[in-house]
Amino acid sequence: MRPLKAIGDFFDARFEMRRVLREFAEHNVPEHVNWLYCFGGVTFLCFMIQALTGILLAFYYQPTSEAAYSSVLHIMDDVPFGVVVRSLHSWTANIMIIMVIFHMLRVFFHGAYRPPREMNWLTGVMLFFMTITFGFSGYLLPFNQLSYWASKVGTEISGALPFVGPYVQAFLLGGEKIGDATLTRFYAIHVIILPVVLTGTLLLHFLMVRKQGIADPL
Amino acid sequence: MIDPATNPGAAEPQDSTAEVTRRRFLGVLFGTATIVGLGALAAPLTRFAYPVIQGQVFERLKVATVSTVTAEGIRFDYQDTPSMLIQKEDKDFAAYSLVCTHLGCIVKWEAKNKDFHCPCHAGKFDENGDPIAGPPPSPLPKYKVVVEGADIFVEGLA
Repeated sequence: MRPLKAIGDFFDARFEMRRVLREFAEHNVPEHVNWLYCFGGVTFLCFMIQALTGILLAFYYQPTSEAAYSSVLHIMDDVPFGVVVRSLHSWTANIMIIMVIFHMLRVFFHGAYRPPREMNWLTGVMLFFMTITFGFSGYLLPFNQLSYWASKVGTEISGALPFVGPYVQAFLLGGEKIGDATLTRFYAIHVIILPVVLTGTLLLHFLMVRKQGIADPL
Repeated sequence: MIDPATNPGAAEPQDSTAEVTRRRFLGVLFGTATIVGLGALAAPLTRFAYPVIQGQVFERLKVATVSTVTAEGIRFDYQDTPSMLIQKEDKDFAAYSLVCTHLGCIVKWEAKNKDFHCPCHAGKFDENGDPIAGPPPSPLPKYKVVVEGADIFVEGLA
C-alpha cells in the first residue's frame, strides 16, 4: 500500500484530485431518492459498455458491402471471445434503449422536467433520439437480410417526410438505394458522429443535474 | 500549527493503518472487488484484440493429376469443406467449395448440364461458380488452383 499512497500523494500535491474525488464520493442526494432513480445511471453504464465493446468490434469489422457480413461471421466464429463481445454489444444496445425509456418515464411521472429543469429534459430528449439513431445505424452494419430490409423501411419512412423527404432519404442512402455508400455513411454516423455528439450532450445533461440537484417529489 | 494541548486529536499523527474504521473496511472491500472484476474483464477483452493468426494459413493439397480429371470432376475435402475440381469448357481447371451460399446445403456438379445444382432450393451455379438460378446470393467460394507438371494442387481460397 505504501507505493500506492506515494503515487496518490504525488498527483494530489499537484492537482488536488483527492478533494475532487471525495466530493464525488460523498455527494449528498435527497432522502426520497430510491431505486427508480437508477435508470439514468444504468443507461450511462450501458453507454460505456457500448463504447468499449464497440471500439473492440471496430478492430475486425469492415464497412463494405463485400466484407461486412463475412467480417461479422469472422468475429463470431474465429476471434477468441468474439461471440461475447458482439453479443454484449447487441444485447446492451437493446437494454440501453429500454433503460432510456424507463428513465424518461420516471422523470415524466415524477414531474422532474418542471422549471428550473426544462433544459435538462430537453437534452434528455435529444439523448433519447441519439440513442434511437445509434440503434438504427448499428442495425445495418452486419449487412444481413434483416439489416438490409430494416434500413430500407427506415430510409423510406424518412423519404415520406413532407417537402424534405426525398432529400433526407438521398442523404441517408448516399445514393438511390442501399449499398456501399449507405454502409459507410451509417458506419461514420455510428462510430464517429454519434459518439462525439452524444458524449457532449451527456456532459451537459450531467452538469445540469449536478448544478440543479435531483428534483423534489411532487 | 495545531497545539496538542488544546487539540488532543492532533497529538498523534493520523496513521491510516492504526484504526480500521467501517468506512475504511468497506472502501478496501469494494475497491478490491472492483479491481478483481475489471481485471477479469480485461483478460478476455485483451485476448479478443490479439490477432487471429491460425485462420490465415492455407495448406497446399494435391487434388488430382491432369489425366484423371473427367467430366464428372474430382470430389475432395479441403480443410473439412466438401469441394469439387472441374475442368471448364476452355480446358482450365477450377475448384470450388460445394457449400451453397444460400443456406449451406452441399451442391452437386451435374456434368451433363455443366452446372452445380443445389438440392435444397434448386439454386444453380455455372462452371465459373456464379449463381445463375434460384435463391443463392453470391458465387461459390473459389480456390486457387495450381498445375505443376501432371499434378493439380489447391492452395486456399482465390
